[in-house]
Amino acid sequence: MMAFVRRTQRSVAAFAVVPAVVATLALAGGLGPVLLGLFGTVVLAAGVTVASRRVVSLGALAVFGGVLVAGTTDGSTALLVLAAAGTVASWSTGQHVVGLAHQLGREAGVRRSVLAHLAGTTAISLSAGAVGLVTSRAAGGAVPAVAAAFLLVGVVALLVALRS
Amino acid sequence: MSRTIDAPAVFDHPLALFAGLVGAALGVAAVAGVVVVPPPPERPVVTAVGAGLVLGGIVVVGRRLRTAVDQADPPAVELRGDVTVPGASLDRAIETTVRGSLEERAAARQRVTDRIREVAAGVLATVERVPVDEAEERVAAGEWPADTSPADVEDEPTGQVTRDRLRQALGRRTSVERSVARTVAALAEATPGLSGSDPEGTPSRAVERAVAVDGEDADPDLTTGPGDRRTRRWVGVVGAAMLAVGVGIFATLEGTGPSLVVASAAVVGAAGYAVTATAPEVSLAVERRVDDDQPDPGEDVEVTVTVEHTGESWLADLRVVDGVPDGLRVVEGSPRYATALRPGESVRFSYVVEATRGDHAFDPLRAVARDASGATERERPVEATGATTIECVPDLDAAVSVPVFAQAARRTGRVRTDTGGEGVEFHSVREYRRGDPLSRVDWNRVATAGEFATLQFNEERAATVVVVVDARRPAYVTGDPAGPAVPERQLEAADRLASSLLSAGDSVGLAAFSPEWCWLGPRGGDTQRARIRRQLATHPAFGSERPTDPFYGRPPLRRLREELPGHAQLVVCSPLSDDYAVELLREFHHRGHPVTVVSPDPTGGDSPGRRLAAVERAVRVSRLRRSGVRVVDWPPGESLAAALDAAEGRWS
Repeated sequence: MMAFVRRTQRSVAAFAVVPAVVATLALAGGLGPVLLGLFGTVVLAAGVTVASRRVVSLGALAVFGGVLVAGTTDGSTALLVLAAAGTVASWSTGQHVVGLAHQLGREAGVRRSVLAHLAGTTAISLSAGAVGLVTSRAAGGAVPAVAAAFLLVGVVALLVALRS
Repeated sequence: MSRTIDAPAVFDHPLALFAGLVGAALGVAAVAGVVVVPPPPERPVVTAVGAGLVLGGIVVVGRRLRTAVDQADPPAVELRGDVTVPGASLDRAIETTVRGSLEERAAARQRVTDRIREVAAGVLATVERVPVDEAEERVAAGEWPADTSPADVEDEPTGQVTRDRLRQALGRRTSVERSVARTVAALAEATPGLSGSDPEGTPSRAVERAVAVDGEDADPDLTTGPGDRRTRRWVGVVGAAMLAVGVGIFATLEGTGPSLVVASAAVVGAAGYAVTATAPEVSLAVERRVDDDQPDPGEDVEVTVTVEHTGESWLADLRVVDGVPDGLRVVEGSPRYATALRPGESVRFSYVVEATRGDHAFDPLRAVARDASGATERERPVEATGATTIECVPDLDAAVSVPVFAQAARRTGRVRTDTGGEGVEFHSVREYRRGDPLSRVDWNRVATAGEFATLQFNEERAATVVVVVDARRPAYVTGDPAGPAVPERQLEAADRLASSLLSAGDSVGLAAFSPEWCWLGPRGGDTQRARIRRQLATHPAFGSERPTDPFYGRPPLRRLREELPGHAQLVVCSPLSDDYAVELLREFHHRGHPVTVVSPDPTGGDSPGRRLAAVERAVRVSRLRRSGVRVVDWPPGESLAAALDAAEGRWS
């Protein structure tokens, strides 16, 4: 018997996990970050499979924890940007897949929608990261922390102000 | 319910705006090498800023985990929306005792307990013939049923929900399911006509997922209508950026590079895009085709939907749900689709529905369009061109033999009355009166005793029967959303009963318990058969849509009482899905219209909720039988003729 089943389609669940895997690989410079990345990726994959937004968020948070730990050591800034962008893309696509599972169920055709969302969030987060990277390189790789902090605080405050 | 998206309102937060602008300007200046703020007390200031960011980040991220995402929730159009499954609401409540939040779980446990208590009191009152109040007291006091109590599930033991979630993940029954199943088994044991076995059957969860509506109206908070909304899906992401910057500042103080601060740009960029996004314009042309718009009942019909994007800009995220008619069930494929569309591009998808009796009109397709980030959502109905209805006319036939009460009209027929007269079976002998036919004179007695006597036989007369279809809202139930639903089985039964009664020479009328007035006075003959058939196929009272009006004491009921001829008996087709049906039938029976109920059984299935519904119905059947109403229980999967034979065996 057919029924409306609010479950994730196996075939698109993988798309959400790919960026987290990339992020984990980018974190491979240190043991702590890579373990956090692996753990987070597994949790995120589980969250996507059981269609739970919260579990997806917790998994992404673990991967992001890996990014934070990696950031306290001297590593490649470009790889760190890649890892952060991958985390965001994976979290957002995971949320997208879960949303589709709740809204459209297991049987609907959703592949193109998931791919479009994955491409969109990856492009946005990667290009934003690239802008940050180029700015810091332009400043000779030695942006004073105060400057960067002011910049980020400014952006964050603007975002808060913009939040409807 | 329509909400509009609030435009990003910068001026709603002037302080944050000011701080943001100043911070960004100072930052840009510092990057460019212009130091506006002298750096000397760098360390304490920077430490404070970093700590503030980390704390703020944790708060914002934490808020994320408590925020519910708000997205369009289209109804389960795949399933028949015109019927409910008895007991499914209890199964859903049992499911919530494991899945829901703390408050939801407590409320669900209370619902489950109340429901079981209610049914238990009904069983006790019927079986032991005690007043309902007393039965309720005994159940509430835990005296009955003996070994198990409805109150077993009232409170949640610490840690049970975790164990139950684990059990559920392993496909086992949860503790509430087991406890309820035990109580239901005890109730079934006590109920006449049911067995008390506790099948290690389907957990309630499996049923919950197969059913669209369950007798309760959908939670208004969960259903969404056309409108614009913010999904709140990016809430908390800014917190991650704040965490990154805060930790990055500390790292910089320890001498590492500012790479984390740079990396946070990726997060800030994505969140910033989401904040400024607006919902896209929905401009779609939808065409719907069906491969057969006049199918036979049970036939599969393929529906193909083509959605073309007629707007100017990209639709990065489009979800559509076709408006499958309420009375149709999707058996293959899905009426839902998600994609991204360029201007002018179109997408086609198809699904298969199973035709059921009636005229089924398609609803508009629901389109939900989101911006690329998914932060905003616009829901719109879109009218489709092409096929708008599926008409499905049943063909009804096959005669059965229908037992009727010995209450008859003054015409010759097949009801053998207790009155002596013309007939076949010997009744009595009485003195000869002038005018008695010679064929009935007892000549043996004339020969032996020389006196004239007349033989009397049981007179056979025609019955006047009104076939009544219970078409009230609660009667639109089914035990199996996949099989023929009860309304159809009732109509099938009504048609065959009327047809067979007419063949047997009875006068037959037709009426409905429905807010729609439906009445066909009793008559005999083939013309009446055709009239009844047409009425059953076309009258609005028997439509495939569930009536929304209640039936209690409505004018149609009073009018029906007035129209019924005094000697008419009723043959009622009703699933007996609520207690009011019992009251209604008893009342007719006691007012001198003997009632025979042909009741398609809408219960079945092993889940606790559905078994409880079966107990409830068995109690109703038992109460009806006790008041003298004849009940033909018609189980699913059995022929009407077999059910009638079984019932007749019970009466003779």
